[in-house]
Amino acid sequence: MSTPELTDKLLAIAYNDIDLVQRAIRSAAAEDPTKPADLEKVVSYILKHRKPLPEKVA
Amino acid sequence: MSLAWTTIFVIVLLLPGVFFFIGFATRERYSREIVRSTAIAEVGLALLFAGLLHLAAWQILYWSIGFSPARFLRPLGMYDRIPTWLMFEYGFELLWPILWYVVVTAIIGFVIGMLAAGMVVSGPLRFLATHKWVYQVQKFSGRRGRVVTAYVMTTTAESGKILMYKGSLQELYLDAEGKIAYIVLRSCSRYLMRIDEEGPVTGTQLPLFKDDSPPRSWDYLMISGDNIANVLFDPSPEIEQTKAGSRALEKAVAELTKKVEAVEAKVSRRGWSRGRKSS
Repeated sequence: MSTPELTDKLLAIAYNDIDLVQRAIRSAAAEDPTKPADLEKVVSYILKHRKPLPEKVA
Repeated sequence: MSLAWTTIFVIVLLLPGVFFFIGFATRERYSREIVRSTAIAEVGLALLFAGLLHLAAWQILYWSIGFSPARFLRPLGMYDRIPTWLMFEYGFELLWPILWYVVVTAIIGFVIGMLAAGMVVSGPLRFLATHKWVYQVQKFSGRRGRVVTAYVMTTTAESGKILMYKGSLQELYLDAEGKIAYIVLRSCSRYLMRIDEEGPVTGTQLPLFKDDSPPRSWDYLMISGDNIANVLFDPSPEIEQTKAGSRALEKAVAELTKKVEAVEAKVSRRGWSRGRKSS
């Protein structure tokens, strides 16, 4: 997966919340600062912490 | 007539150098002036590069097929001593190999230019760039799994409050002086900054679209350089793309796509029924 594609997908599942994406990456990277952030942990963090879709939309 | 032929001859000989710079510009999307030079110096560099490439091509052709330019072009030197019809025959015989030579050397120039531009962006030839910092930003935004957030302070101010934007960096272009020509952000939010006695204070961040609008596949905000006071770039740590991670992401995207399709279907049904009622 290319970087723009990965970024687009992470932003999409975070409902375009860039703060949440950055927090998720930093949180996953903080677990082991010697390694890059694990994508699985990033996705899991986003799904757990993203705001619910507004009622009108959902 | 001879003047026109000389011009064409010079242009054809310069083509590899010109294509080198075209290739060089393929990766150079951030500044018009990647190399510290003027327009005249660029023509000089094109001439130098074209000369070097022709010399190399000549040497390779000599080694491989014993090519000699003097022998190859000899019939043209006797144009005043041979009949016109024979001259035409010679001319057309020479035309194809010359055209192929021009095309191949131009393509080689283009490819070398592209490789050189890639090395400027990735690092080894960075010293050639006039505005080096932007290539660092480009490298980070292009590196596997990094998200670069840009905080843009605009020149729009009202009652001591300054309009700010924040979003994921998509595109960034500089003008020849190294100033930002324009910047493109994705997933953007806007907010205000107030400068009081205690220092700058930022307000609540608001999305550009209403909260109740369905999630979008993409949205871009382009901010013109005239409207930018300064920009802060904040790259995230790198992400490692594991198989399990990619599977989890694809699953989440598929679920989101289903949700969006359901919302779109609901919206279109609502619009259709409203249309029926009004008619």
